[in-house]
Amino acid sequence: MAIKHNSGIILTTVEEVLSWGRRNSLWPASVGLACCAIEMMHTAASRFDTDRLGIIFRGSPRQSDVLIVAGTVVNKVAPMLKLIYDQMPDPKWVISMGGCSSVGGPFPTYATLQGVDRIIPVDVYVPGCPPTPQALLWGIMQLQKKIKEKKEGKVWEEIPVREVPTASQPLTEKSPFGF
Amino acid sequence: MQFSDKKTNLWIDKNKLEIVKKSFPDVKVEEYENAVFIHVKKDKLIDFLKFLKEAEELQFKMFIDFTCVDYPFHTPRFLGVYFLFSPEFKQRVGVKCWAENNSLPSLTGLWKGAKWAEREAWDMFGVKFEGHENLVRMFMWESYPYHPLRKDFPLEGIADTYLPSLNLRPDEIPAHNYSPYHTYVPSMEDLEETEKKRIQKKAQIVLNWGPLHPGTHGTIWFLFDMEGEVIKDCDIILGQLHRGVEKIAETRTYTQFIPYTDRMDYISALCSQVAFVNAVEKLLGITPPPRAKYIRTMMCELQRINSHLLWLGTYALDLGALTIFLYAFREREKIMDIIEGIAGIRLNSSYIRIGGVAQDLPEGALDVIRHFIKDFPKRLEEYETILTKNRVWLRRNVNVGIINEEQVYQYGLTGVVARSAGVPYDIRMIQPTDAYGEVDFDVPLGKVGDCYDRYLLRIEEMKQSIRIVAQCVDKIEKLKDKKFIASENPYVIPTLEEVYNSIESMVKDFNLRIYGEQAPEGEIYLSGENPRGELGFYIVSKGEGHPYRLRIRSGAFYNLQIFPELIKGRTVADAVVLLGSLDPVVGETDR
Repeated sequence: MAIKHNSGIILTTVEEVLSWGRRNSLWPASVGLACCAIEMMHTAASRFDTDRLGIIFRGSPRQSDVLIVAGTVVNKVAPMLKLIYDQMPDPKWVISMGGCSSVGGPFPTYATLQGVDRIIPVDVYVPGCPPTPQALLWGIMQLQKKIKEKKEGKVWEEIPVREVPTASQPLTEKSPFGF
Repeated sequence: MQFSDKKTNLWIDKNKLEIVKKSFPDVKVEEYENAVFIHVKKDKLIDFLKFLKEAEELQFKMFIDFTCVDYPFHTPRFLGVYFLFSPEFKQRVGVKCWAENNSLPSLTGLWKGAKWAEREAWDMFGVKFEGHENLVRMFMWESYPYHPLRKDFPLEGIADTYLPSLNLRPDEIPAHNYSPYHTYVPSMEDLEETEKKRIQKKAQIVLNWGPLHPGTHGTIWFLFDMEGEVIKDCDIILGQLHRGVEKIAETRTYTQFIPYTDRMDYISALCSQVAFVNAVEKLLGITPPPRAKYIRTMMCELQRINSHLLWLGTYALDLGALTIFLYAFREREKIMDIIEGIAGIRLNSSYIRIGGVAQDLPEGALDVIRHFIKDFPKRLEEYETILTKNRVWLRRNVNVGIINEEQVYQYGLTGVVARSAGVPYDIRMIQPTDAYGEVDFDVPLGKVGDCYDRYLLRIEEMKQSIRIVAQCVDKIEKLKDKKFIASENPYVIPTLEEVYNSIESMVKDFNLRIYGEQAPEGEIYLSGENPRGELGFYIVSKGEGHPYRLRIRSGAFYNLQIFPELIKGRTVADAVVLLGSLDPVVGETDR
């Protein structure tokens, strides 16, 4: 939280500045595994243009902050993906893009890893098969939100749930349905 | 509308079978409507195949595919199936041979293209090949103990490793099918062992390129044995995207398998669907209505432009031209929007159905396509202005990776790679499916067979695709018959409207979705022209709702196989160009 003075001075904390810089220059490692990689390329290319969000794909894990797991992770490639994750400098984040990397997707087989979170911790799951570029941008924005709030574990938008009467609470005049 | 009776059956004719029987009297012939197989004994297999390859009247000199089928209650257990093609007479033949003592003679002496197919059969079925130069696993790692495509191996594999999710907190209730136990994930030592079995260091250094490198177009793992900058020896490790699609096919109904064909060759999803659905339709005896045929052809060609544009963008990006990448993706977005408008999904559009297409074209779709095909040739001209006579582009491309006609037959190369060597092998021409027999188009052929030829061919193919799309748009507009799916056929799932309005359709829909299309007993091999080469489907049906065995003959798999031979004696910089011009997609090579 920054405090702005009338004289043009902004007071803030070092953590705030670091977090602001980090969330606005997320550099992903350019690792493409399967179909989702095509949509990831589309997100980076002319129409959706992630450069305007400060997202520039890097060829080396040493220069990257984010690992976008784009595609099916099979057992044989899993140790190498973990190697790339280990080579990335801290702080680092992982976006699991698509159904395959999140839970195995449509491939419940002997060769496929059933969820990339079994080998590396995941920050944001993006659903879809494959997710559209808009969905991936949504995932990146969720990650930015998470970095801003510095929360541990999962962060998602809380959807208010309407209370439904249960069997122990017999329907009365006060019930939300009004009968 | 009548579709012309061009020759659509490519299988060996009666006269040639007589010639075969004269020389080898004890062979048995197994005939189906869309496949002809010759049964041979194991000890005569090599002689027989050599006869097929070299006899003047036969000349089956092009290697198409090799695979195995597992019959657990038969001795011997495994059946090897070979597919050959005669470019002279435009005919195919299948050869079957039982693998006695779980082994077959290796074909690498006759066709170099058999090398990887035999490795795959060893990996998936555990069939040994006598005389193979280096029989290692194709897709799995070397210390993997099972052979997954055997019938007694479960689809889910054997979950013997404790590998819980790192994101699951103690207070969280996991999903209903979550299990902390998982199939074995190899360690780095396992992969190192796999690597060492592939290549013996003879020169200075073994360089690893990939598997997670942006230049390898996916997850292909190259091993280069190098002397200075010159590559002396090369091998390729595949399987970094092996998802077990062929095993999945054995447990899914034919309709359920359509989405998996998308995810195999994800750049040209519609072409893969059409190739698969055509094979199933021939098996079930369904004829789709003319409107569906034209829609399919139109969508296929749009997808072909889309695929070649991605190739152009990434190929130019690999050679340092970022501008073309951004331009090509601009046009790709337009095609993706058209596909999304028609099919509902951008990339993996499961739009084709058995018996037709999922839904009719929406209002205004043809206008959008017409606008696109009017605009696109100008854009293509722009790309050509930048690249075709560019001095850097010429230096990188001309005379790199020259393929000759003999290599095409030896390795079973198809698609643009074969046509660049001057071999007129285009499935759209020699076995026209859908409306390809009705439209007018040319198949461009190369003269030299180098990377520059393949670039020119793909640009020319895009222009031809525009021609086909334009003809299809005109034809669809004139068609009075609005029927887009042959839903009166007992094997075709009815449309939603019919299901809601009649009880018979509802029962039929329920039966087909639960029990699948009960295909009659038989076998079929049918292929389609993918942007990457011949994509063939060999289906063995036992009269059940799902295929007994489904073999996918992948064009990219065989095209990639020539890479080690072409790269020998060249530098690493050429490896990028050569790989880009072969244009493999890992989803299809690994399946």
